[in-house]
Amino acid sequence: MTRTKKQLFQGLRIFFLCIVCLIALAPFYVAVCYAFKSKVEIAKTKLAFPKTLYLGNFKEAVGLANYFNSLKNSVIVAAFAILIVVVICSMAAYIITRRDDRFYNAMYYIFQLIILLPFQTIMFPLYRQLYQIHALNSLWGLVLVQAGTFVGYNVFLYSGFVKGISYSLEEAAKIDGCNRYQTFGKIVFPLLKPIHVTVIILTFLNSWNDFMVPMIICQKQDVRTLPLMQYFFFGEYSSNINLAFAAALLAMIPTVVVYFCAQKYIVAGMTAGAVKS
Amino acid sequence: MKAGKLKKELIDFTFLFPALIVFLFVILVPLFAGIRYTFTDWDGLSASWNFVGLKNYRTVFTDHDLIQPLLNTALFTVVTMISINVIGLTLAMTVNQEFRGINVIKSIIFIPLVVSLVLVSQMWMYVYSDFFRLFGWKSPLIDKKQVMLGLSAMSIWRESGLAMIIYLAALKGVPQDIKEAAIMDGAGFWQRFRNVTVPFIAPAFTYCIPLWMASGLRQFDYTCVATSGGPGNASESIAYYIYKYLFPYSKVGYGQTVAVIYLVICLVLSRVVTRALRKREIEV
Repeated sequence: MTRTKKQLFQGLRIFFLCIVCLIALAPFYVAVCYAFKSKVEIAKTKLAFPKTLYLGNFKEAVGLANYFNSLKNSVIVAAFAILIVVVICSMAAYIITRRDDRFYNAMYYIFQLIILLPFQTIMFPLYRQLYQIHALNSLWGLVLVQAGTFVGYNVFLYSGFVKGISYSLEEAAKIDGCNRYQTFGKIVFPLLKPIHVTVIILTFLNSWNDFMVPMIICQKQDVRTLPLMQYFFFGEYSSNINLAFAAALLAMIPTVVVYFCAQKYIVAGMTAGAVKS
Repeated sequence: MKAGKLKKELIDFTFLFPALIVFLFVILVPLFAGIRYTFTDWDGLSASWNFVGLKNYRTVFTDHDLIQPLLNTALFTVVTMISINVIGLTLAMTVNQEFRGINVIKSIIFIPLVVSLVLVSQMWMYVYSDFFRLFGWKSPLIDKKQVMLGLSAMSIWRESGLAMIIYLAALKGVPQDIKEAAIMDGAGFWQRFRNVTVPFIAPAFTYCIPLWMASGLRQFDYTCVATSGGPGNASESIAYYIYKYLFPYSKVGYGQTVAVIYLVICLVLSRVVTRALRKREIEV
């Protein structure tokens, strides 16, 4: 290829990517634009760029939507879901990988089936079960269900990583008199740090953005998580979209912050299954 | 000696135990309880119910209301699966070259993925109603024929970035020297794509295609938030149809039967597709 042809090609490539970026960002413009305009201004100017940044919406939305309560619920649920997932999945993946016999391999494949299972199939019986143990409309019920649905993928992530850890360290620990618990706690668990970070971030995003599970089991006002708060708020305040979008933006901030701080790990976690290393 | 071995087995099992308990409680027990409901006429509320044998299954296969959600789900699945993979791969090939600002571009394309489906639906409702009006277009969400495409676009917008990242990771694994050798031999763009790139990124296809097939088959959130199944039932997905029968309509026996058949369809489809892709992976 000649030089000019190459440059032209590069120019086209960048032009195309800029268009794609615009499409990726355009819907956010609608949300941001409406969140920073008063109701009157929206009616008058619609999607025009806001002349002044009107912050009143945020203040009002926080009060009306009970925003801080939902934020608190989301934080609690995500934190405990992460804690449970990290502990139980790393332990299970460790023993499955190290034993590598028929029983443990069978367990691995059964766990993997969770990934394929549509939630609708277990939704109602699970709802009944939680009702019977008084876990409906409770945050711990939600934590338990989320952790259960996340087990499959995270055991898979951990197993892939444990396979790559050399066995010699563990053998040395064994000779020094460590039992399985000590070996796991002192040697293996700290070595899993990179995959812990990935699991934590993916679990955070999945838990934080989850809509269907809380929709079924946590509808009561005081246990609503952010996506649910947003859903009901949009229904109730559809004539005040300025408030609705202000609430939506507030709900989105934590995920966007996490995204920019931990992009590398998110990408690592999401591509783990696709690329054979 | 034997007691020692048993103790060792027990210790090993305690590592699996917590995950197993959560799995049993959240997945396996409800799954079997759900299968039992399919043989009853239970409404989900009353204390008693009757066993009705296979009546629910017969109803499912003669239910004309089920056809529309079935078609909707099939359309959504096919459209999103193809579009997300094609767009993702195209983008991956476009950004698979280092130049200044490329990381910013990749980040921007990936952002929609971290937004919850609820917010995606809500933003797009206004994109369709207010943004489209600037160009004089009609919102697809109020048109019976276009509503599923409208919902598909939301999913494509949100998830193409993920497909891009996955294909990009796969493209990085294509050996540079083989690519160069192909250029030296005078292979054109399509020839190189077909004979060099595709075989090397085959594992990514095997991962991505079933992934978006499964997520298309499960589509619930967009329907629930953006249209509530409307207009009419033009945007009802199977998942939403099942939800309607289990909760608002209180017809648990029937709803659960649809859910169980739907599970079987999902499992069989993903198994067949994954198998076919694996086989191709080895052939090419």
